[in-house]
Amino acid sequence: MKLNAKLVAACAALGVLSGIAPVLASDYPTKPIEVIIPYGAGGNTDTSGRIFIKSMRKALDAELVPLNAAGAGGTVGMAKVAAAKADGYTLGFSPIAPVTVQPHLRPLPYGKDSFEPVCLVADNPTAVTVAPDSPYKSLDDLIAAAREGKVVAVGPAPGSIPHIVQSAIANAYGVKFKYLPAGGGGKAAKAVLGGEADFAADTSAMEKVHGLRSLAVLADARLADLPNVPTLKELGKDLTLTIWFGAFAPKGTPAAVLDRLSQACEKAVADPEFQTGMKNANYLLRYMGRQEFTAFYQKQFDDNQALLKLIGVKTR
Amino acid sequence: MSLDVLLSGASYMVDPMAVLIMVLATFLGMFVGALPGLGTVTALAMILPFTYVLSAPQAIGMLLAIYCSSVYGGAIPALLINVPGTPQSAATTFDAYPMAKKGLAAEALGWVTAASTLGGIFSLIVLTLAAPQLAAVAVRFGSIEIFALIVFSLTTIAWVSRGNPFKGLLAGVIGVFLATIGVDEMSGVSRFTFGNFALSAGFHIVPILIGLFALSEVFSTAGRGAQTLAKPIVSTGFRVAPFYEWAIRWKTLLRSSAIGTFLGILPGVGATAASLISYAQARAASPRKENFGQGEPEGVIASEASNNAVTGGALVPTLALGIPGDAPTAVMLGALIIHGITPGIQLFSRNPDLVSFIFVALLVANVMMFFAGMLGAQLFSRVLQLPHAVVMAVVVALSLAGSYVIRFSMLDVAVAVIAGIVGVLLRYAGVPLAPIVIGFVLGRPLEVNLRQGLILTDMNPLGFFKSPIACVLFAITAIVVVYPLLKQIAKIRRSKQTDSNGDATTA
Repeated sequence: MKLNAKLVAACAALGVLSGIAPVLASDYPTKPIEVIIPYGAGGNTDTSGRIFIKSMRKALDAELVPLNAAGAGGTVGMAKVAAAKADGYTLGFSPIAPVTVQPHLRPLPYGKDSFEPVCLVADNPTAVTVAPDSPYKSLDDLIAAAREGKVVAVGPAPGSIPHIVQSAIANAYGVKFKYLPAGGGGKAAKAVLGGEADFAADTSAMEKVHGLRSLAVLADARLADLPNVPTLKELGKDLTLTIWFGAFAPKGTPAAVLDRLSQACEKAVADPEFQTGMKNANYLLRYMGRQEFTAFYQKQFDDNQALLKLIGVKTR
Repeated sequence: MSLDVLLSGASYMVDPMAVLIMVLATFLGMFVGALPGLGTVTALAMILPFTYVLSAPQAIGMLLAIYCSSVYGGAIPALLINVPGTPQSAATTFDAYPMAKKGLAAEALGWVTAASTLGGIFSLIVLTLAAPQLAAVAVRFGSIEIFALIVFSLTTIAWVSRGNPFKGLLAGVIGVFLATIGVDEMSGVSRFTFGNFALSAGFHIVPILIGLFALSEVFSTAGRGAQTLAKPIVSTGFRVAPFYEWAIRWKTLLRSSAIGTFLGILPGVGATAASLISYAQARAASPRKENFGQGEPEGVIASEASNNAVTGGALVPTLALGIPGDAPTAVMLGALIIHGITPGIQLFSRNPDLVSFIFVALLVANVMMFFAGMLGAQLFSRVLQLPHAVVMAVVVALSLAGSYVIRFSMLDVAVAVIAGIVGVLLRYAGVPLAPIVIGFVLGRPLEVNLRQGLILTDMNPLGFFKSPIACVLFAITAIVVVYPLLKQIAKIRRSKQTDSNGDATTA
C-alpha cells in the first residue's frame, strides 16, 4: 500500500511537472512526427528526405511521416514549418535554397529567425558539367568560348544555387554566360544533352546520374567519385558552393526536444542503411549537430545574401 | 534488346512473391485511381514506404503495376458517374459516360479496359525496342520544338468544344490564365497572387479538375433534382466488343497509342494533355465524327489507349536518361534511386537484366490490369445501382480529401470548391470545360518554352523558323487552322453561286 501511495504521488508530481514543462525530452515523442518535405514526391529533396526519415524512425523509435508540401521553390512547405506549433511534432527537411536564399529574393512569411536548425545530414558540392560530346574539354575552354560571348548556362530561376554558381564563375573570370532558366536536375541535363545549353552548374551527381562530363567541382578538395576533375581552387579561383540538406524545427521548440532530435539525428546518420542509401542516391554525407549547424546556417544565410548582391541579383 | 536478355529478365518473374505483390498492387492501383481526387502520384507516394522492405525487382514490379492500373482506374468513375478518377481520364467522360447512360456500362467497361491494355502494351513494345534511341531523339526536342508542338496541340481545343468555338476558345484562355498564377518558375517572381503567400504555390491540376468535373457534376445533378434519379437499365459486368467492332476502329487505336507514347517520351507534356489531344485527333479524323460525344467507342479508345500509352513512353527518358517523363515517373525514379539503381544510359549497359525485367514486368502489369478490370467490373457497374445521392456524397468527400492530400494545403480544397461552382455556371452558360483543362495543362509549358526559345534566339521570334521540326509543326498547325476556314468559305461561295444560278434561270 505504501508503495502504491508513493507511485500515485510520483505520478501526480509527474503530471504537475508535465503541466509546467509540456514536453520533456524523456517523454518525447509520444505521437507521430510530421516531416514536411517542401518539394514534390520523387525529387532530390524527397529522396534524401525519405532516406533520412527511415533511419530517424529507428533512431528515435517513433513514427515519422513525410508530407510533401510542394510549391514556389520550397518556400510554401518551409512556411508551413515556420508556422507550425513548436512542440517537436512538425519538422522540415530542406535544402540550402528555401531557407538561406529565397528569403532574400521575395517577401516570405519566414526569415532567418523562424527556425531552429536540428542537424545537417548531406552536403553536395556543385560542379560545372557539359555534354559528353561537348567541344569544351576544360573550364578554360569554356571561359575562352564565353569571351566570344556564346556560352549558355542552364538551371532553375535566377537566385537558385546553379544560377548563383554560374554567375559567380562568370564574375571570377570576368566573362558573361547567357542564362537559360529551364530548371534544375533532369531538366537541366536535358537542355545540355540536347545542345540547347552548353553547361549546367548543378550538383556533382549530374555526371553519374545523367552522364554529363564534369569540368570542375566547387569543393575544397577533389571528390572521391570524380578523382580526375579539378577543384575551382586548383584552377586559381577560390570558390566553393555546395547544396546541403538539413532538418529544421519551428522557432521556439523546447531545447530538450531539439537536443533529443539532434542526438537521434547523429545516430541516424551513423546508421549503415542511411549511409548506403545516401550513397546510392549520390549524396555526400556531412553531419553537424544542433549547435554547429545553427552557427553554419546563420553564416550561410548572411553569406548567401552577400553573394546574391555580389552577382547582381536584386535582394530585398 | 536480344531475346536471351529478355528471357533473363523474365526469370525474375519466377519469384512467386513478386507476382503476388504485383497482383495486389494492380488491384490497389485500380481502386486508388478510381477514387476521385486520388491519382497516380498519390497512389505511388502512398506505396513508396512499403517498397523499401522489398527486393529491387519486387519494388519495381509493384510500382509499375500501380502506375499502369491507377491510370486505367481513373476511367472507371469517368464512365460510370461522369467523374474522372484522375486528370488523365478527363477525356474518357466525353464518350464513355454517354455510353453507360444508354445502359451499356458493361460494354463501356470493356472498351475502356481493352483500350487501356492495348495502349499500354503498344507503348511498352516501343520502349523495349528503342528506348535509348528514342531518348536521344527526345532531347533534340528543345524549347522551340516543344513550343511548336504545344501550339499545334492547342488547336485541339476546337475539337473538344462542342457547339460554339468562341466559348471553347474563351475556356482555353481561362485555363492558360490560371496556369500563370503563382511564382513564375523562370524568374522567381510572384504573379497574380495579390500578396497572398499561399497563392504563390500556384494552382495544381487536381483541385481544378476535381472542381470542374467532379464537384460541378455533383452540384448540377443536385440542381436538376429528383427526375435524374430514375436509373437507366444497367447491364452489369464486362463485355469486350466483338472483333469487327475493333477492326473498323484500328486506326484510332494505333494513332492514339502512338500519340500517347510520343507525348510520354517528351518530358513535360503528360498524360492529361495526351488523352485530350488524342481524343481531338480521333474526332477530327474519324468517319464517325458525328457520333462523338454520344457514346462513340472510338472516343473511348482515343482517350484510354493514349493515357495508358503514356506509361511506356514516359519510362523512355526516365530509364534511358534519368530524366522523368512525367510526375509519376519522377516518383518511380526516386524509388529506383533508393534501391540503389541509378537510371541513365549506363543502366542499359551495366544492368541489362534489370532493364529487361522492367519490360517484362510492364507487360505483366498491363495484362494483369485487364483481368483486374474484368473482375472488378462486376463490382463497379453495381455502383450505378446505389442511390445517386449516396454516390454523389462519396464523390464530394473523396474529392475534397484528394484535393487536400496533393500538397497538404487548404487552399487547394478552396480551389476545388470554387472550381466546382464556376464549373456549374459555365455548364449553364454552355461553355465547354475540357478546353480549360487543356489550356491549364498546356499553358505553363507553352509560356515557358516560348520564353526559353526567345532567350536562345536573342528575342528574335523569326529564329524559331530555323528549326526544321518546328517549321513542320507550324505548317501543320497553319493547315489545321486555315483548311476548315477555307472549306467554310468555299461552301458559302458555292451556295451563293447556286443561288445566283437559280436567279438566272428564273429570270
